[in-house]
Amino acid sequence: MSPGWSLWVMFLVVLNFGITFLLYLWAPRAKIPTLSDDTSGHVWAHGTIREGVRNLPLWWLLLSGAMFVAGAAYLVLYPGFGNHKGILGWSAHGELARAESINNAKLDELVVRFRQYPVEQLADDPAALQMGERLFVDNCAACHGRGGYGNVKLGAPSLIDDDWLYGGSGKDILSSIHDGRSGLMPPWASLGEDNVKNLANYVLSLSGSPHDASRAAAGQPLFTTCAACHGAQGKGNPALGAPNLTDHIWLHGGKFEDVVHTIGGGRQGHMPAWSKRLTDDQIRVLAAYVYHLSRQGDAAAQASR
Amino acid sequence: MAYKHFEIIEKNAALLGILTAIMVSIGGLAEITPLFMEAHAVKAPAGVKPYDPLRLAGKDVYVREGCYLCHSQMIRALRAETQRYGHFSTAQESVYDRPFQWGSKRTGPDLARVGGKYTDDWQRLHLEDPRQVVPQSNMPAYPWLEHNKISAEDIEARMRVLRQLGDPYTDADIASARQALAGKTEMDALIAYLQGLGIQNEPAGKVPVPTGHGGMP
Amino acid sequence: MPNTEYYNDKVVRQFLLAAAVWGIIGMSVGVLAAAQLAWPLFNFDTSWLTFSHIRPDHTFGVIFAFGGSALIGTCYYVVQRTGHARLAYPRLAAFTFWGWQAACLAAMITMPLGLTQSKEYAEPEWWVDILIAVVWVSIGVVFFGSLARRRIKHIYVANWYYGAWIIAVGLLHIVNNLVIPVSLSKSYPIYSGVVDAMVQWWYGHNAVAFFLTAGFLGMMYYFVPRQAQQPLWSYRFSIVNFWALISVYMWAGAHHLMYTALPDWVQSVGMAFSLVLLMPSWGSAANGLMTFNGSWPKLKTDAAAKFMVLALVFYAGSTFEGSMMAVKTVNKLSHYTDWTVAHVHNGALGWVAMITIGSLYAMAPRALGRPAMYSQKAMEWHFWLHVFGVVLYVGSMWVAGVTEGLMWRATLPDGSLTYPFIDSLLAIQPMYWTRWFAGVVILAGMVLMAWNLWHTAADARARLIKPIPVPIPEPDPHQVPEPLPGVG
Repeated sequence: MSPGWSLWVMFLVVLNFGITFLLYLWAPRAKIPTLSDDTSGHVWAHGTIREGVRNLPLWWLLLSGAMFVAGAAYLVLYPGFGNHKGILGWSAHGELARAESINNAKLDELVVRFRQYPVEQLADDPAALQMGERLFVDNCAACHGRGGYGNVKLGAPSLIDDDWLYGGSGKDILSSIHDGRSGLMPPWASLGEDNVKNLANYVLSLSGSPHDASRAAAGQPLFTTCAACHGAQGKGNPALGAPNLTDHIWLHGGKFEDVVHTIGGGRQGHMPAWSKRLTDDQIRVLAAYVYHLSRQGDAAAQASR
Repeated sequence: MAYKHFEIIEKNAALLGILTAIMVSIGGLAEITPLFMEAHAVKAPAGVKPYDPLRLAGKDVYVREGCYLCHSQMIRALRAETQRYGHFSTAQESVYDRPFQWGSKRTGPDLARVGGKYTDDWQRLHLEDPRQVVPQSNMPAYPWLEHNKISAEDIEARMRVLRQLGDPYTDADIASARQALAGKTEMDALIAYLQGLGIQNEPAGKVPVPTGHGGMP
Repeated sequence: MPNTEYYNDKVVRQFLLAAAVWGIIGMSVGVLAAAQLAWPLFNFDTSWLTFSHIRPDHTFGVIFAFGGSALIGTCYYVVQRTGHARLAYPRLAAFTFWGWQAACLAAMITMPLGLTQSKEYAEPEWWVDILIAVVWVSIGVVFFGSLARRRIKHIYVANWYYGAWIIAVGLLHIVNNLVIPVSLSKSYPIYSGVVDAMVQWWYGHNAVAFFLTAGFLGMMYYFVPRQAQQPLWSYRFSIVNFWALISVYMWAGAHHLMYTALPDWVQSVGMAFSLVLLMPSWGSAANGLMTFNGSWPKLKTDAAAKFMVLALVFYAGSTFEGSMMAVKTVNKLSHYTDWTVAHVHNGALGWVAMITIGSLYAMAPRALGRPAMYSQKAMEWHFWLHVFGVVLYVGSMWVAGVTEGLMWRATLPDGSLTYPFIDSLLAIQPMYWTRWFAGVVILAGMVLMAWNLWHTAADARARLIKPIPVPIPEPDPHQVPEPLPGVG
């Protein structure tokens, strides 16, 4: 604030504070004409409204005095009186910096310990899991669900099974969180509606799901196109994030219509990179928590849901 | 002052009115005028441009839908907040916010740095019906956004008014609205706005890197 | 000298009716909003019924439509009685009634449709704001015109507050709504970012100060001595409280922006003056409460007096709470939580609604030409329903607010945050259910009041009410007449 505006603020603070304080000093001493019935003699509303002139109660004088002192002292000690910084030298950002450095010192101890273990081992540390759960719910649960059970509508994979699109080792999980993942399956509607349906039946047959055997047989030759990513046996490919089609875990739904929709329209899955939002240490803790989730199976998901 | 002066005031309606008007003006004159007169000193960080047409449309949808009633866009300078939401919000970040969207209540989390946290698909599903992705949420659904188209003429008119108010839009910026908004729905605009929060307000290449353990969860 | 002049009570009765109707509408919207926060299915996936579209309807409906109608009505009633003069400019006064209702209706319809400036309590778009401003200036002209016609030289303290309410709200409304229109449905404020935030909360806090405090103190200063049938406790107290309250309040808005991007100095000044504000706040509450000295037994039988006394207790309570919440250390915890919601309703349902209900019960029979309200029992029921509802409401939101505040900052000994955000929402869900129920109870009391007023007005609907003559000349101060319970 320029010195001129600072003076302006000081002037107005003094003015308003001063007027209020003088009123406070003046009121108990003011000589206000009083009638014998202890009223001011002013009468309104058919004589129904009159007013006493009683002196101000002591408790109120003390309370108000205390507030004046507190208010004035505050403006001496803290910034507020124009450009006066306050004799304590306090600032909101200074307070924040102190609070952060105290807290970071505590976190450092923890993090130094965490850095000693690989992710797989960190997943056995209760402190890491506690921190990991909080981070998971605030950041990951929006897509993967609070218990890590995934979201078919979004194509967000379940994290509580041992089926991994991009690999389930600590290192793989770390890299998924740090850099994010993008999966793309192109649409195959150009094959024609009938072929898409045949192919869908064949895909369902891979996992032994209910399907039309004759249509599946008709679809089998077409699968060579799919095999480029999903493998000749349909076992998937973690390098590309192509899902395994031989199990009963479906990223985008395992009903016949879902599979038709997936083949005809293609699918895109995107997980944002977290390296810009979370520190490397936080990402490691998260990876450990996710690793832990996958080992807990369904029971853990049910419990924390 | 003696009592008789008060008596004069209290017997003269005009004097009472004038003195009241003076007394109620002091606080505002002290707190608002210095900020207002020195507002030009609070500049957008270098490289930060005013909202592009799609994000401007999205910001106005955010305002119209009343999102500010449950979501703040103001990370206070408190340790628990910077630890949860990221670097505290600065005055420079909201220079193009007319009206400001700091909010007053967090029924839902702060959104000052939500940009990029989720995917566009997530935002879409969440706005269509939040319980599709967060079963415990009590946020209302906003399914109509998907059906409402954005009018480019309207946004151009808005950009011209903002230029009058001092936002540095060029003719080319305003002319770009038609193309940028072709076929866009209010849902697209709102998502573009949300995805830019806390990221596109920051100067290019200076996206806040997590410091210490604060991070930006 | 024969009486040729009569009080203009028609416009007062109109505002009284409007207040009852808007009160029920505003609070019903509040109950719906509370239900939506507890059970989102009540949003019905319909844009104009969705929480974020109707919450401004709740706040505008209760503050400006309900509170505004009650304030303008009582203001017109009080300025006539305390001046022994008929209201000035009868046609302009009639315009203020229809104009205010039109402005409220326009705001209440346009806001859910998405026409909003997004500034809390100042949401209506620019053309509604212009209508409000025109009506507001007219109210000022009627009020100060009536003061100019008064036959009693000394202006009663109630009118100081009504005057300050009109002047300050006019100033706040105009400064905060300076915008450049784009179309009928959109405008941009001339301020941006930090300045806009400061202007808005200077407005927002003083909407509380001058609409919900100064105006209602005017109401209190007339109806409390009238109902207690005692002289106002102290004129000396009135003087110091008035000038301190109207000036100090205007500084306090900055306490809505603690630890934000607003410069430190503004936050601190806001906090310092918020502390000093306790002085005129408690002074005014004490001046009203102690007026009941000598009349306490009346409380057993007089429901209107009960409402007034409890209103003053809540006023003292919520102003203390407010000053404390302005302290940075407390504000860190309370801001952005439901504690703020508790505080607002502490003031709005405890102080504002109760002083209004008490005053309406005191004024209605007089303005409707009846010796008393139709049902004393209904008033009694209303009182207990309201008290129960408010205590439950404020209590549940306090618990919710403190829970949120503590959970957001809870940190484990190792330095990591304890709770994810959503856990705080889940933790307070039972409080949201409780709050909804409390709202239903309060609304039920309001419906009972409307029923009671309707029956009290039966006579008035059936035939012309005998107008009350203005007493002329001015009464002799030294021969104070006995209070006349039936009139004035």
